[in-house]
Amino acid sequence: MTEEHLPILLVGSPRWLEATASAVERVARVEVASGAGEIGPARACGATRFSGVVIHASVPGDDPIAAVRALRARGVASPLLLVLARDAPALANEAHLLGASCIYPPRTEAGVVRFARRAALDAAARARRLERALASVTGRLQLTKRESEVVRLTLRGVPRARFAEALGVSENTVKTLVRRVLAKSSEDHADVVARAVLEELLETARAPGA
Amino acid sequence: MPSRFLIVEDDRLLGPAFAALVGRGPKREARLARTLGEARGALCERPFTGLVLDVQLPDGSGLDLLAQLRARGDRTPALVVTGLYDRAIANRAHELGAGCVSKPSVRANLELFVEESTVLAAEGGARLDAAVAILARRHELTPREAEVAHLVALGLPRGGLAAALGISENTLKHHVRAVLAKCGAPRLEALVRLVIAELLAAEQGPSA
Repeated sequence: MTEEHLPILLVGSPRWLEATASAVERVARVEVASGAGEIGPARACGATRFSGVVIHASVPGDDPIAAVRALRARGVASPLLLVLARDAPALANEAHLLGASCIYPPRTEAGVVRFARRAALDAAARARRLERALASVTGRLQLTKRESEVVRLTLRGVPRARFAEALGVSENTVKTLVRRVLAKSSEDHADVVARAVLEELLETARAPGA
Repeated sequence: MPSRFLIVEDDRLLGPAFAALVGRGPKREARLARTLGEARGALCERPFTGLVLDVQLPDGSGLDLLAQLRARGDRTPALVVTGLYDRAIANRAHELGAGCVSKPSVRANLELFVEESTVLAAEGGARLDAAVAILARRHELTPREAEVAHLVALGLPRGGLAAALGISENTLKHHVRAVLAKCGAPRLEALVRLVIAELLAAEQGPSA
């Protein structure tokens, strides 16, 4: 899974985005949005679509927690950083529960850049670990390269309707590939193969430094 | 191997309460230290799965202790729990790769912290349980909905869910719809991917 190139998503007012994006662009690919509402299901597609998400206090409605909730509700499971302007003990506990860290001025730009760099490294480490698990399952089920691509797309959360486009093959070929994967795993649903990968992840210890 | 947590908290009521909460459950232990001195002693004995640190202690700051540990390359997950939450403390905790929450209502935060640390340290089934628990907390699933997610992650086919939970198909439908809406998953099977994502995310440990 080529997660090494996953972008970081910055959410905030146009002014903040303009001031911040160029600094972050030096360490990661950047996508921007002026509100969580802009992140439709298609854009959020897949739990690991972004290496990380940064939400600035200047999001519309002045409610960064609502923006975090909206993103999580769209299935975005990426690490999250909240850049707040005022000390907010009341927000801190809720942010923590939503898997978000909070930072405050001064030096927020440096904090965002550090977060972006770290998120890119972590996404790459996760991708490598997932890739190893996938390779092991591919070997165990004796999947061909194409067949294992189908499993990879499933893991990424790509909808079945986009498999043909993603693999550059016809709908009929996709059907055949999915049928073969299911036959080899003697299961009746493609996501069951994702479960085989989950089992692999649970059985294998994390490689040092991964 | 049980997960072991160190609670560094001098408040006479909160300290034992945190230790009881964190140490509750099978294969979990909590050790309470009331000063940095006691904490350093405990840290010399055995490694911990996770650290819960107060900031203002009789002999110094929990953040200073954490900074010393990080300087030694110790990446044990840590949660800073403070009654004096402000930007200086939050920023420093973040730089040290620790979560930072504000006392006294931290029950849910402590539970999440324990689950995340468990994914990092435990083995096999316990890691799956912890990853599902994180998913459930993150998306505010009810206990029943969390059970649905857990069974799906364990590989139980949709057809067997109602029987396994001892509920009717109609009640199950209601729970399944709620789980999917809350988690933002298109289909029940997609939950497996979300569990994988939580597992891999928690395995990363402290992020600074």
